Amino acid sequence: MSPCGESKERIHLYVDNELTPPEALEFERHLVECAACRAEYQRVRAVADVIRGAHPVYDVPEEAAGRARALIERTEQAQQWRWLAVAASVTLVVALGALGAWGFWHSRTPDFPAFAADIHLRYARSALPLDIVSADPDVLSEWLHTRLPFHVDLPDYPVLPGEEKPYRLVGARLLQFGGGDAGYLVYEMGGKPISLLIASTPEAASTGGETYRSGRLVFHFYQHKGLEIISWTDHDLHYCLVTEVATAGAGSCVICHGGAGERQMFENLTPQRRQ
Amino acid sequence: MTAFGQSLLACHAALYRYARALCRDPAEAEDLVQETFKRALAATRRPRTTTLEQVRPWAFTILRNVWRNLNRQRHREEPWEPGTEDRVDEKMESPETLLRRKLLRSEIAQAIDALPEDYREVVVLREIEGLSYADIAQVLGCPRGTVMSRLARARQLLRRYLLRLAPCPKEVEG
Repeated sequence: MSPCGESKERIHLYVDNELTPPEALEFERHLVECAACRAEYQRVRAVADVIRGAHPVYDVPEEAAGRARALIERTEQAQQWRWLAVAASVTLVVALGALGAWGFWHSRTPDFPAFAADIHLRYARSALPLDIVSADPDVLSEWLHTRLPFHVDLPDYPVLPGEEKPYRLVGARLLQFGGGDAGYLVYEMGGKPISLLIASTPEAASTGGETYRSGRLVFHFYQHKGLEIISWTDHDLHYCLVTEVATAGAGSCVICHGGAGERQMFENLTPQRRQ
Repeated sequence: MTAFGQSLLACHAALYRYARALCRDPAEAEDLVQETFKRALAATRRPRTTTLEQVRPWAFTILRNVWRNLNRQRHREEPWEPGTEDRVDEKMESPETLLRRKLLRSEIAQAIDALPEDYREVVVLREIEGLSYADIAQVLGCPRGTVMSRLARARQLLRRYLLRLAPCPKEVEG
């Protein structure tokens, strides 16, 4: 006697608890009514019970579990060390990258001093004419006053009796920097030009370089394209002075302000930590 | 040991039995489990959770893949079908006959070992390890219907083989 076609599959599903409760109930009702399916169910059930009753059938060697545990512990420990090594390497790479970026940022010449250096070089090779030529600071101050959005008073060099001015004013012109007007003044000392740029735009603010403090002023010293550059900010105006004179750091100030009247200023200059 | 490692270790006995059923050799079974553990521990894609329920079918799948790869390098197993000498007049056997017989565990293991591999593994995963059809289908990488048909066929073959192993008490008396 063969079981019903559809129910043959259901016998195994029922034996393996794969039917939903309503399906199982329906199948149980069918078993009551169908002798053929009942007989087949009992045969399948008997085989399943014999195998399940012999659980676990295969004995696991006692030492096998110990070897498996040792393998897991050994591997996981090695993986932990590997992860630590990877984490340490990543940290080192990030730290070196940050250090490199920091070094690059602090060693590069900011835009305003680099711009000032380019202007200076252009003037030095006669590629940048001046708008006004005058050695009188009052004349140039007045000229700049009418053309710039900020006021600049050019001081006259305080000469003590018996002293000579170490430099002289040559002239001025207007420039554009950072979307704003900038004043460009040219001095001359020993036949070599000295450039001074003055701007009010925030992009011209001094950063980086070798810094020195004198009172409320902080001076930034750079070397760029063989030029000595000093920048500082005073009363929201940003200054940048470019010379070809080969001195380093605060020594540059001595060139122009080496007179007895101003010696106090550069003597107070003290190097600061890089910012 | 990590939670994943603990779940994996908890699968050891089940993995060994599955390996033993596939290899039919205890020493080879242990090697297969060790290799499975190595692959599982080195796997970059692990189950989302490290519970035993998640890790167990996943580990079975790895073991099966390792076994299949090893087997490809060897000769393929000859499919087994019971010969005429294995056939039993099922009409003469009542369902209780099997239960009445005192079959040893080793005889049952022998009966399972005699099955073709496709049937052997489905019997072990279902009857010994208690996996659902869905989990078995995941391990074998086949549809649920295939699991059901293989299991039905495996039970049929097992029944014949088990009946042949030990004579019925009635027959002994006679």
